[in-house]
Amino acid sequence: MARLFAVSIFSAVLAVFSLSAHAADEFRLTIKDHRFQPETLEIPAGRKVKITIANEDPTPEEFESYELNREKVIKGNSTGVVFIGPLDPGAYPFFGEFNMSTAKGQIVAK
Amino acid sequence: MLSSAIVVFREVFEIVLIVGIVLAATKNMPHRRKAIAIGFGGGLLGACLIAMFTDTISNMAEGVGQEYFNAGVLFAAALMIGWTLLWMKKHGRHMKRHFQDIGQAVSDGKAPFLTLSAIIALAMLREGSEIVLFSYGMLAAGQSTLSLATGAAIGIVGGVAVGTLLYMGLIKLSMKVFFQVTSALLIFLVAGMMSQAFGFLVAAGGFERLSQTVWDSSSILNDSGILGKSLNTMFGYTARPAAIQVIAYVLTLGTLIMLMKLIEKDFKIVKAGQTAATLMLAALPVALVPAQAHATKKVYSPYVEQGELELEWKGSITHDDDEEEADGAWEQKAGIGYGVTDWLFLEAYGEVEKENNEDGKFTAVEFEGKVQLTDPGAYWLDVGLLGEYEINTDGGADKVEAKLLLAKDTGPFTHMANLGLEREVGDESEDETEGNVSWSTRYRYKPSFEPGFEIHSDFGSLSDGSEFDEEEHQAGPVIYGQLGAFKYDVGYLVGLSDSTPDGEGKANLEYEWHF
Repeated sequence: MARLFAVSIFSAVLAVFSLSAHAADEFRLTIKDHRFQPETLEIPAGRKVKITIANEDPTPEEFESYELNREKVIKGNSTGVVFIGPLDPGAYPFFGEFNMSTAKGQIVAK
Repeated sequence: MLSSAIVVFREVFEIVLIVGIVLAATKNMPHRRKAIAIGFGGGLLGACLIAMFTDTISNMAEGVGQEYFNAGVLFAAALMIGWTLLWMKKHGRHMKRHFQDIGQAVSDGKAPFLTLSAIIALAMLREGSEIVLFSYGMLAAGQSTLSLATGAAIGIVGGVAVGTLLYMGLIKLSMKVFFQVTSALLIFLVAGMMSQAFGFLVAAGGFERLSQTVWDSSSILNDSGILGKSLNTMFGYTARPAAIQVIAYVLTLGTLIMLMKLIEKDFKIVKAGQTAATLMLAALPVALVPAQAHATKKVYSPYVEQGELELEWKGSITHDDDEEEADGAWEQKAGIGYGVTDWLFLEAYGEVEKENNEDGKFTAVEFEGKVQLTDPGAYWLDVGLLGEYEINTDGGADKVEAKLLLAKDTGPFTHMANLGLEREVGDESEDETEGNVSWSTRYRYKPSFEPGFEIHSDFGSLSDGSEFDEEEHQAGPVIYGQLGAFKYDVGYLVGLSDSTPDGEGKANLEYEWHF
């Protein structure tokens, strides 16, 4: 039992690090004056995508999307990375948790 | 005024007590008064030197970094007073005996004459520096010199008077009650000093992410009024506290109470700490919950959110037709955690348990660290690690646990698995490693309502094979969701094996602030 347990944990860890991401498509979002630019980001459906979010405001922002199941805090004047997908075609809204009135946008998978 | 009176009173009383014990123990010794006078003078001189030294640095720091200096003095004073509290708690009972032994040894000529002086000098130096640091901290925090001095005068007179009367046998005082009451007051005072120290750091521009005002009660009770000011120095009341101040206060208070409780457990003395801890937990929603030595059921996600402050409550209650102690047994845990970076989350818990026919008791303090190893979605599987240390406050062995946290999204479904290894450490620990696995799958229907299920399996010792019925296996429906700032999950787990309760209701509630 002990051996089985240890082996299963070990192989799970190995699996993760060997199944590293294929070069994911890269996209970029910018936060300025508490707004996302662009507010609609088109990405390919069915592929994993890496989105680099640059926060050009001095205040922190949180990229959040229930539909994408992602939450990521990005400090003021810095960048953060969010991986999403592979997604089915459709629109996936996101917002900035700290400035919800202005910071809104959506990702459209085609 | 009140706070300086209390601090000075207790410090002076401690000095008088020590001098009294030494005097009594050396009744027939020649020159004992000289020895004590030397110690007294030396200690006083030392304390004055520290005062002058503090004053000099304070003057040098004038203008630049005054906030840092004030914070530093408050930290030092809080640390010293806190440490003395714990030290007295631990050694108070044996102190008398110890000093009597030394006094006897000196009387008999077995120990050098100056040993007596050294004891007194050290006591003076320690208590004296505490008073000095405390006074500076209070001045820095805006208390007037007059009220501080008045308080100190009352404290000195009171401390000397009570101590002397006690020594002369004119009054009887329960040492236990005396130390309990003053210790309780000092615990709040130390927590308040920590909160004020962080207040200075915030004023200096530190802790930007944790500097937002948590509440504003200045219209009800302003902290510059007389009542507000008293509450401020006694309990650290602030009308507009920054988040970090609240955190510092709660953590200091909690840590001191836990440590006092731990020391108490070792000495099987009174129940002050336990009462305090139980009171803290009684403020929680009256609950539910589970039992036996196994923990509340929760499947951890591998994710960490930077700047997230989380207050967490977990509870469970079990029923079982055959096992009486598992029938109606419950367990509750309350914790506070913070996302220090975007990959590290730290959390501390207190735990209360109750078995059927027994009283609820405070059973454990736990410290957890969670590390997010991969960015969500970066790899096929999201991975994190959890390390936990559980201090058993109820007489059993401590526990360490390491958990591998895994998560994977498939469309609107989120699956999570935890693989854990657990081992007892310290006194009375069993030399075996236990393994456990838990699984959770949920359907992300909408934020407030996500139906799913969980499976929890505890395989027991990994070194010897066990029958299914000796292992603990539970499974059942769980609903997850988020309502405003509250995250919840509630579920009912059915016992699949004999050694598991027939049924267990469980609930987790988290309140989250984002900074």
